[in-house]
Amino acid sequence: MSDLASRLSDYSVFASLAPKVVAEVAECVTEVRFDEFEQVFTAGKDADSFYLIEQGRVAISVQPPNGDPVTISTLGPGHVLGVSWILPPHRLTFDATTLAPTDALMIDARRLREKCEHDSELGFALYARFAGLIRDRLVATRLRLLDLYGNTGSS
Amino acid sequence: MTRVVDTAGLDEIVRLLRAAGRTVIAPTVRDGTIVPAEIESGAELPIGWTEDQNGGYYRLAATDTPERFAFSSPSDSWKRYLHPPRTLLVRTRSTEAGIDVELPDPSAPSVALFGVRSCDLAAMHVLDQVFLDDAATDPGYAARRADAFIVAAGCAHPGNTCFCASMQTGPTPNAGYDLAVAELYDNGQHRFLIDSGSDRGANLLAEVDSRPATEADTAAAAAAHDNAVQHMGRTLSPSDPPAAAAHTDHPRWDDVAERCLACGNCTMVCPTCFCSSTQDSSGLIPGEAERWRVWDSCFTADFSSVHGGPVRSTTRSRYRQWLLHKLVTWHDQFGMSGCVGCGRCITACPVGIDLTAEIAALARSGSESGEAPNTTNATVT
Amino acid sequence: MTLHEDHAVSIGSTDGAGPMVPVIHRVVAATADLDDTTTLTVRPVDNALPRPQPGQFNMLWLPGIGEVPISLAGLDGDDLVHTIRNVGAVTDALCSLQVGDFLGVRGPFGAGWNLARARGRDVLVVAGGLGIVPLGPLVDELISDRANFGQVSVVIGNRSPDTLLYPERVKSWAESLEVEVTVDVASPDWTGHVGVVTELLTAVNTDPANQIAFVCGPEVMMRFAAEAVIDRGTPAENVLVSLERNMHCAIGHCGRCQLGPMFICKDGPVLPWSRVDPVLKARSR
Repeated sequence: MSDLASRLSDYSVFASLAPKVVAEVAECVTEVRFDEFEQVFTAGKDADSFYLIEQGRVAISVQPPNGDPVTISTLGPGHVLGVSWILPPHRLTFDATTLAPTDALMIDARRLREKCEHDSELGFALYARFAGLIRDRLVATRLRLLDLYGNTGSS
Repeated sequence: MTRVVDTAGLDEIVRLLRAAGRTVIAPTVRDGTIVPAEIESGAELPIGWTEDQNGGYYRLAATDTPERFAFSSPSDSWKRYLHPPRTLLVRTRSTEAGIDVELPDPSAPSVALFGVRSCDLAAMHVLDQVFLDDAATDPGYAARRADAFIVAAGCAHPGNTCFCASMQTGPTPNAGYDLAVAELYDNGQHRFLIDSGSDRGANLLAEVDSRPATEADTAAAAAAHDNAVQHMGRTLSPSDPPAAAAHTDHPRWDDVAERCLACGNCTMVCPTCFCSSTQDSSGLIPGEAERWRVWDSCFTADFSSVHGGPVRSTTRSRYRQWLLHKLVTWHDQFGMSGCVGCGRCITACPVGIDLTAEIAALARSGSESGEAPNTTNATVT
Repeated sequence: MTLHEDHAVSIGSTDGAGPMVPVIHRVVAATADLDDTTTLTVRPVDNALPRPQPGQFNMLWLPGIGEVPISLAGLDGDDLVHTIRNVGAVTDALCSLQVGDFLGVRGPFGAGWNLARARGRDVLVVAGGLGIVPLGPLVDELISDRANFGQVSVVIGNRSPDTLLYPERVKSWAESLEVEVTVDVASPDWTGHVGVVTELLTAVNTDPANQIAFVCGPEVMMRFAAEAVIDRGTPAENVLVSLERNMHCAIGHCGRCQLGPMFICKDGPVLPWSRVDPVLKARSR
């Protein structure tokens, strides 16, 4: 396994996939670095890439018409930044901004989608893994909807 | 070893217990039922009385014999004499300098519990596991328990709601008493076989006119025992509780929850239900307060409340907690069943819910018992 | 009767008066941590109770008002430290106590965190909201006995940055341990994590197969946290949670805190997830 493939396999979305599949993904990787408070992507733009965060922290946020952006969640080492690339219309839904200097593996999503078009094994593997990722995010979001740490007292 | 006394001898035992300073608590007729209460002589035993019990039903009935113990068991248990419904824990006075804590007078009237059925004797052994725990002993219970002189009475007249034979707690007492009485009334002969189970029991018995039991006496007692075993009104199969516990989503839970009023009667009459609440109250005099321990029931909403609401919010969940605790998890906690087969919960239930019938239905799988629930149960919450 | 051999219940009385008689203490410090949360430091007027272990609890009592189970927040010398959230009549009165006021204490009760089991292993501490209170003295002990444990990571979930309990203490923990704090709702100046604790478990450096996880928070949060930890390879018996139930006596006599075969007051409050999970699953409706 190449060094890059091994690094990809550290992420749960690519862990223990067939080497052939990981190798296809590895062909789409570019290493990138962002400074603190740098915009990684912007809501409404085409989702042409996604990121595997190696170091640092990224805020997923939304910009209200007035005031500061509201952070919805943060992502850090081991997390995948960006899921919009895999589902039509391949459009980014939120802003992503670094909260600290951040190293990431950027994946060329346009190229990966093309590979998926021609390689159903690759396509199925990635759809299944990203569906799991989206499920985990949905569960986490629902947990936060419960406002568990709020005072549930009846006093 | 076994001695035989006549009715005068039995009365003499009551007299000797009272002469020794004990309050004698015995089955006696009060307010249309037989309950354990103070008696002043053997004449106050329920002579010539029996009762008819069934689900939600209790009526006294006259016998045409002078038997003292022709009934099954008193409608109320003996629990209140060892684990009283209300117990003062502390009385306090708050001052600038602190909180003065005054403990209640630990002395209580010395009692004799006279005529305790084997099921109720077993229930006392069950309560011992709760309150005489080495790690945390209830000092009041321990004192009352050690003091109480117990005269057990073998049961020859099990009722419709009885199933002590199923629970292996009766009908004949075999341990845990000072004296054990077996009443025999045949061919016009009225006599009581008496065994002692302790030194103080033997010492008391020695003061009473008695003769040794004959083989005929013991054979008659054995026959009465066998007859009682054959006449249990209810049965409970030992394999049913674990099977029911595995069916926590059985539709029968919805069915019983529709009938159960969550009144808590079953827990009040149960000889082993021990649950309580601790209640703090202020007096009229500023700074003075009291803490009481008061019987409580797992059928109340408040019982399981944490901030935000009760953990068991439905009657379904509370009935299930009560039944499975009594018959299943009690074994995990105390190494024995919490049910002794006295049947009081069946008699005392206003709608006649019968735990032996419930557990049998629950032990069958949901699909097998499809006839029991009706379709409206889906709306029960 | 089954009791954890290393967690024998000690009765909350010093003079043989019985386990239901409170021992009078005086408040020597009272600090408002949050709008609805207060930390009391209390000292016995006469005899001290047995020294509590992290994860155990005391019953705090006010005459004429009532009594509530409150977990140990820490020890200050021989003084007991308790952090109390105002959620009802009794806790409201406790939170209103001033230095010099008196209260009754019974305890310590129940099974604590059993830190001995974690010796020589990695330790993952997961706290949600008020769950940081009983875990606080555990983390303090992990730090003072640091050499006996492998990687120690502390993950704290809270509603918002400004409602985090013990911010200074958490900062000091971060000097010697991996500490991550995540919030549900971020303020604009917050650059820490935003999200639920389960999302941070992928990032911590403990070895799931060789760790003991100590989890405390709202029961729903503990379920998700325990399952996430177990999904990552930690056996369920190595995931310890602390449960809350109604308690009046704390010694297994009042029956209120029963959960399946367990009395939370004496078999718990700290229990392995392997014992808790099947009972909670069966308990629905």
